[in-house]
Amino acid sequence: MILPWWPVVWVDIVGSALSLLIGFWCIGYSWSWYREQEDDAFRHYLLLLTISIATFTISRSFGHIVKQFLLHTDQREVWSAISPFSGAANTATFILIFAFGIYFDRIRKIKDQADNDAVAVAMARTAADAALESEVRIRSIFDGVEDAIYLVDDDYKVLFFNRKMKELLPGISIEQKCYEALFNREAPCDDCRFHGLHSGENFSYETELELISKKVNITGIRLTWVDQREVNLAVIRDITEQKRLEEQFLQSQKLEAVGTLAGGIAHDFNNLLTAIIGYSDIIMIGLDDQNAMRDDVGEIRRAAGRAAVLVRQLLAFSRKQKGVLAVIEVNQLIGNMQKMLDRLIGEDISMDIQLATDKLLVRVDPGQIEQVAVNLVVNSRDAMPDGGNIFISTEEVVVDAQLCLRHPGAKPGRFVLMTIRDEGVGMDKELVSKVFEPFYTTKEVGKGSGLGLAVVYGIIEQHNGWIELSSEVGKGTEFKVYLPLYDGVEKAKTRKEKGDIPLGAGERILLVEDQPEVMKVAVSMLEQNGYKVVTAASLAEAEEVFAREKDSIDLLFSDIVLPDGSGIMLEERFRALRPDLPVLMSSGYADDKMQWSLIQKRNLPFLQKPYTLEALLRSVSQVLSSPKD
Amino acid sequence: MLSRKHFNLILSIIVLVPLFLSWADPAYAVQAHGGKEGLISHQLGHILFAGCMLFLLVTGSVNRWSGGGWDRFKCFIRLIIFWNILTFSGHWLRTGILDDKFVKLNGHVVGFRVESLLDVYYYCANLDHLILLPALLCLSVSLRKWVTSDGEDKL
Repeated sequence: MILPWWPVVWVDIVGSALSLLIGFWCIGYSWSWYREQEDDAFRHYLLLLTISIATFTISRSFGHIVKQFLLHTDQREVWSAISPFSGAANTATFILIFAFGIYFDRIRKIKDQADNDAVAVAMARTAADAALESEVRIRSIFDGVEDAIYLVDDDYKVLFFNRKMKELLPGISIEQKCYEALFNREAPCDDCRFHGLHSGENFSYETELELISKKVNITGIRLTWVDQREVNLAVIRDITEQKRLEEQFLQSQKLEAVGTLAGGIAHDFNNLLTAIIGYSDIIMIGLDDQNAMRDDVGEIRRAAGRAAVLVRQLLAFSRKQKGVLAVIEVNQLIGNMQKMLDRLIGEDISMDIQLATDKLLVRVDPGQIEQVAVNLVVNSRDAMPDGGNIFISTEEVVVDAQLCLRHPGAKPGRFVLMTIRDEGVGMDKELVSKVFEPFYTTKEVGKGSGLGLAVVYGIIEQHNGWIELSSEVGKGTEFKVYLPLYDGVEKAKTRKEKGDIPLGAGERILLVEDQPEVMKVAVSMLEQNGYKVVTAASLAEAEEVFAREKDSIDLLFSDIVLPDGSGIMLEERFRALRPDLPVLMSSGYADDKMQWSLIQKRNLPFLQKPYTLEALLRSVSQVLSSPKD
Repeated sequence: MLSRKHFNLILSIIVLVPLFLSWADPAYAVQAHGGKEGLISHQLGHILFAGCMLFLLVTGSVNRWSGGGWDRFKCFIRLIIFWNILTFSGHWLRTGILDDKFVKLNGHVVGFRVESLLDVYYYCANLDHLILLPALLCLSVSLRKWVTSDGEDKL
C-alpha cells in the first residue's frame, strides 16, 4: 500500500510555520513575565529555558521550511549541504534544554531561598519598625509621667530614661552607669537594690540624691523590655516638697499642742494672778505712804504684772487671747510705727521700708499686729549684732492653689503680704523647725523670753493668716506674713480716753465666779471702793439670787466659764426678766467654750483676767454709766 | 552565593555559546564528525531533552507543584516527551528504510510504500508536528498563565 506523502509535507510546512509563530509567542510571554520582575532569578531562568526551547523550535521549523522549499525546487544538494547544520543546531538546543531543565528545581530553590531571605529581611524590618514604634509609644507614655523613670541592664548601664529623669538629672546619658548618673560613684553601690529584683523582690525606699539635693522615693521592678531583654526599671518620685510639707504639718501640729497646753496653764495662772494683783492693790490702798510694807507689796504687784504679761503672750501664742478687731490700713500702721522701730533697732542698723502704693485694709487687732511687727523687727535686729539692713515691704498678693501647696495653712484668696527680711546670721534647718516654739531661744539667759516668734505665730494664725520663714546660714532670714485682705467697709476705730478711777456709790453687783480666790479678791476690791456685792459660784446659785433680789441688782458681773453653764446664759435669762440690766463679762482666756463670737455679736462689755483694781473699777463704772438699752 | 548579576551572566553564556557554536562553520572543528556520529549525537540530544523533561515532571510531582500554569506546563512536558520518543524512533527507523520505499515523481517524493507496521509507524513519525504543535501551545498557554496569574502557582 502506498500512502500519499503530501500530508507529511503539508503537516511539516504548516506545523513548522505555526511552531515558528508559537516559538516567538512563547518568548514574548516569557519576556513579559520576566520584565515584570527583573530581579527574580526564577523568571530570568524560565525566560532562558523558554528561549532555548523556542530556539529549538524556531531552528527546527526554519530548517524544515527551508528543507521543503529546497526539495520542492529540486535543490536536494543544497539541502544535503546545510542539513547537518540544522541537525547539529537542533542537537545543541536539546543539550541546552537539558542543561536548563535539570536546573529548573535548583534555580527554583535558589529563588525560594531568595524569597525566604527577602521575607525574613522584611519581617526583621517589620519587627524592627514595630519595636521602634513600640519604643516611641512607650517613650511618649513615659514622657507624660511626672515621675522620673529609667531602665538599666544587669551591667548597670542606662538603657532608657524619660523626660522627667532628664529634668531631674540633666547629666544622665544612655550607656552611662546608673551609679555614676545618680550617686556620682565610681563603682556599684554596696547595697544595690537591683540585685534583689533577680529574685523577684521589688523595692521601694526613700533616699536623698545628694547630686541634686532632693529627697526621692525610688521604686524598682524587673520587666521585659521591648527588645525582649530582662531589665531593671526604676521610678524616682521627687518627694522633697512632700517631705517639707510633712515637716511643716508636724511642726504646726506640735505648735498646736503646745499652744493648747500653754492656753490651759495661762488660764489657771490668770485666776491666780487676779487674786495676787487684786490683794496687792487692796493691801496697797490700806497702807499709808510711810509704811515700810509698801515697797514689798509694790514688788509683789510688779512681779505679778510681769507674770501677767507673760501669760498674755502665752495666750497670744495659743490663740486664746482675743483682741478687739478693727479695720486698719497696714501701710499706715507700719508708718506710724516707724519712729518706734527706729529706736528699737539702734543706730548701726538701717531700715528700708517699701510700702505698697495701694491701701491695704485688714481686719485685725491693731495692737496685736503692732506686736507682730515689733517682734519680727527685734528678731531681725538680734540676728545682726554687727549691724546691717532690715527690709520691710507690703504688697497685695493673690494666693492660688499652687501657692497653697507651699504651706499647710495657706488658703487661696487675696492677702496682704508683709515681708520682713534681714541680712543676719541666718538659721539652719533645725533652728528653723523650732523657732516658733514657745520658750525656745538662742539668746543668753535673761535676754529673751523665747516667746517673741511664738506670739507672732499665734497672732497670725488667729487672724486667719499664716507666716512663712526662709533662712540661710550666713545670708539672712525672711519672714512673710500673710493676712486676709479686708474688702468690706472701713470703720473708724476710736480709743477711749483715760481719766480718774471712778468709785462706786453703793450700787449692788451680782458677782458670779466659780474660782474662790478670784471671787474673794473681786469682792474685796469692789466693796472697798463703794460697791455692794452679792456672790454666786454657779449658774444655779446666781439664778436663785437674782430671783430673790432681781430689782435691787444694778450689775451682773460674771465669769464666762461656769461649772453648770456660762455667763452668756445668765445674761440671756436675766435680761429676759430685766432687759435694762447692765452686764460685764470676764474670763482668763477666750476660746470657743467662752463663746467669744457671741460676746462680740452682743457687744457685751468684757474684762480680761487678770485685771487690776483700776481696770475693774473703770470697767464697772463704764458699764453702769452707759445708757440703758 | 552567586550574585544575581553573575548568575545572569553565566546563564547567558550557557545559552549563547552553544548557540554560537551550533551555527559555526564545521571548518573550525579540529575533528570531523560525520556519518553515524551525527545521528547518534542527535539521538543523544533527544534522550537528554526527554530525560530532563521527565526529571522536571518527577520533580514537580515530588515537590507537589500546583497551579494552572504548572498543569499546562505538565501537559507540555508529557507531549514533548512523547514527541521526543516519536522523533527518536523515527530517526532510528529511517536508517533501516530503503529509498525505494519512497515513491517519487519527477524527483519528488509523492508517496510511501507501506509494507509493515513499522512502515506505518515511520509514516506517522513524520507527522510529528501534530504532537509538537500542541506541546508548544501548552507551553505558551502555561507561560501566559504564569504571566497573567502571577503568584498563584505554587512552584
